[in-house]
Amino acid sequence: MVSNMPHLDYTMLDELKEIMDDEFLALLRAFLSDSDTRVKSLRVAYDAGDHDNARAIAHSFKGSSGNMGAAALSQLCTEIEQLAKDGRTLDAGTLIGELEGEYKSVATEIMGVISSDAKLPKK
Amino acid sequence: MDGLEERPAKLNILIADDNPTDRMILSRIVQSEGLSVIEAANGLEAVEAFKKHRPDLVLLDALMPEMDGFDAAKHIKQLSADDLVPVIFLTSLTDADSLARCLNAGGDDFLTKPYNRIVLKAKIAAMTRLRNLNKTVLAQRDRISGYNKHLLREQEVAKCVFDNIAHPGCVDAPNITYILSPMAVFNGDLLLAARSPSGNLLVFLGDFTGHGLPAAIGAMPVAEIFYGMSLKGFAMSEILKEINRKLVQILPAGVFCCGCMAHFDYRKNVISVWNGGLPDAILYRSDSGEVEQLPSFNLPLGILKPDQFKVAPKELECAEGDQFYMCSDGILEEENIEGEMYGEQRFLDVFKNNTDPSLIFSEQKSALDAFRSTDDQGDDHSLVEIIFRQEDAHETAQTSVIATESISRDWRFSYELRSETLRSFNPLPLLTHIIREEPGLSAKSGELYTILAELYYNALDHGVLGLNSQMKASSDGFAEYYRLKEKRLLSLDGASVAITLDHIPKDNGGRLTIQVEDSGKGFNYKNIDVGLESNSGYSGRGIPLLHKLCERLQYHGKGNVVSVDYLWEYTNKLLTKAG
Repeated sequence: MVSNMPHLDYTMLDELKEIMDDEFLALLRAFLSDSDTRVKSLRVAYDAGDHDNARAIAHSFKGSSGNMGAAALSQLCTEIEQLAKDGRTLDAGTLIGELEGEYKSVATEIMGVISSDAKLPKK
Repeated sequence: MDGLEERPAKLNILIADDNPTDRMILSRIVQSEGLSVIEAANGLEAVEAFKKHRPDLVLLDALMPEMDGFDAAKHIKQLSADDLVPVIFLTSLTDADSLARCLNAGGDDFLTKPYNRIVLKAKIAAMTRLRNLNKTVLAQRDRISGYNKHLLREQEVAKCVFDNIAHPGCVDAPNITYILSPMAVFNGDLLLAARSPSGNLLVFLGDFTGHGLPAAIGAMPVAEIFYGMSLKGFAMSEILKEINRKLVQILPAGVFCCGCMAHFDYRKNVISVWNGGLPDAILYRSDSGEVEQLPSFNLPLGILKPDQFKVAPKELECAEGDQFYMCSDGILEEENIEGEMYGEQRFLDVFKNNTDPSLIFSEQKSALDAFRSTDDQGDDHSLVEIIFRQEDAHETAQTSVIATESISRDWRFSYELRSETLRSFNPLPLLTHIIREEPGLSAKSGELYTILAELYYNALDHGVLGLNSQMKASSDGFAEYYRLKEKRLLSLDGASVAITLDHIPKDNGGRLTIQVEDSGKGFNYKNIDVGLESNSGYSGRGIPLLHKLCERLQYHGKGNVVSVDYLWEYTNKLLTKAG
């Protein structure tokens, strides 16, 4: 089901662009830099079997990716968060792999948005 | 208005979220509404930022590192105390328990992720309204408590003024016992007691309709009139008429004064009672234990126009030790927990069950206390007991006038009252007033009032009206005496009483000669040894008393003219009785 979902909801992104106005690009960059950290630290928490950290990271990442219109990524976070909450972080290996892949796709699309948006002349 | 409507130029909003992108989006939405933003990345930072910036509204992520939103909310609520600073939780938690937890931690609302801009705007607006409402309520609360403090201060000052004007007079005399709330003046209850120049006692218990200042204001003129007129020797009926006239003039419609006034005449052994709207006054006969109820037959004071207001006090013969009671309706209307009223029967039962008259007052008090069974001290409960005792008559209010100069003047004053005037006018206050103008006689006005009263009423009752004082020996005759007096006064024609005051300076003082001549047919004074100390045979003429107070007492002509000499002198600047 996750695989069928689009990586990014462009309607939401358009709304965000309207809200953020000249800070839209800064938001996208902040998302990428924040998310890089989260994806890496989630892997560390998984390796260490650290339920609490895994849960907190997944929870936070769920929120920010949801807000960015990355629904599939957000959905993966939800599932990982639930496993960590149940103390089954070690069962999340596959999901974390999927999450890393999904994030790579999301990041690629966002970078595309950044480069096309940056080329547009400013009003 | 005092700034309640004023809105700060820019509301300050604290946004605490550990997630930088969420923070950025929220900040942007909030700023686009024209609000200014303070950002925090975790709970600890949020609490610090709150202390520093005192924002108007807080958006708080539920799950954050360092300190989560739940703890931060508790801290913030504690810091804001009375001031309502709404906290909106930001959460991607969606289960009911988690949302409930947000509210239990002191949150006022929550907003779920992903954010919906329209919902967020609406929530900020709703919370701002809530905050403004709270501010208004707080400001009104402070204003009300300010008004209340102000009112209490004013009442204290007012009470001080009232206490000076509506002072209780001689209610602390040994034969008077009473209960009256210390703030009674604001409950409209008023107890006044004064001694007339002749040493008789006048007591008034009043109960104004309503409470607070309107009730208290009426008490002032009542007290002024009561004390002013009783000191000058005006009769009870005249004082009541004047109080009524004044109250009708000053009180708004619907405000009036229920009251009972009683005059204790120690020489005639008579209590005169006028009851206008108070519960039955009680005369307790201490020898027989008999209880005489004196109900109100009159409208309260301050209702009838002066020409409609008639005073006919009930005259009751009484004996040494008789006890008299007046109470306000607050006593009889006292309710117990079941909402049952105390009522008149319980009040009367105390008299019925009493075995020692000296305990009646305390028995009344404890019966009432037992009935109401709460500690809540009733406010408008007034009860007064006056024991009729001769010895108290001697406690005449002494006006300690100190002579500033030793003056004695030479003068003569003549005054004749004719039928119409004899019917309704009491000349004693006027005569007393004239006598007080003589510096040396001022301090003697009590004795002189007694002498004048004796002479005047002898002339009027026995001389002009031809009444026989022996009628008063029995209680039936007593009532008949007053009935006849009323009747004969009404049919009076061509009658007169002439009073002459003649004052001559002498050595270190003076001599006042009082002559009273009436139009009656006189009496055979030649058969009476006027020096006799006994009262027997011609009581009512008060001859022994006059002898005691005067140097000389002499009847002239056919017995319709009498004159007395009263001598006085200065001693050590203090005025004392001569001889």
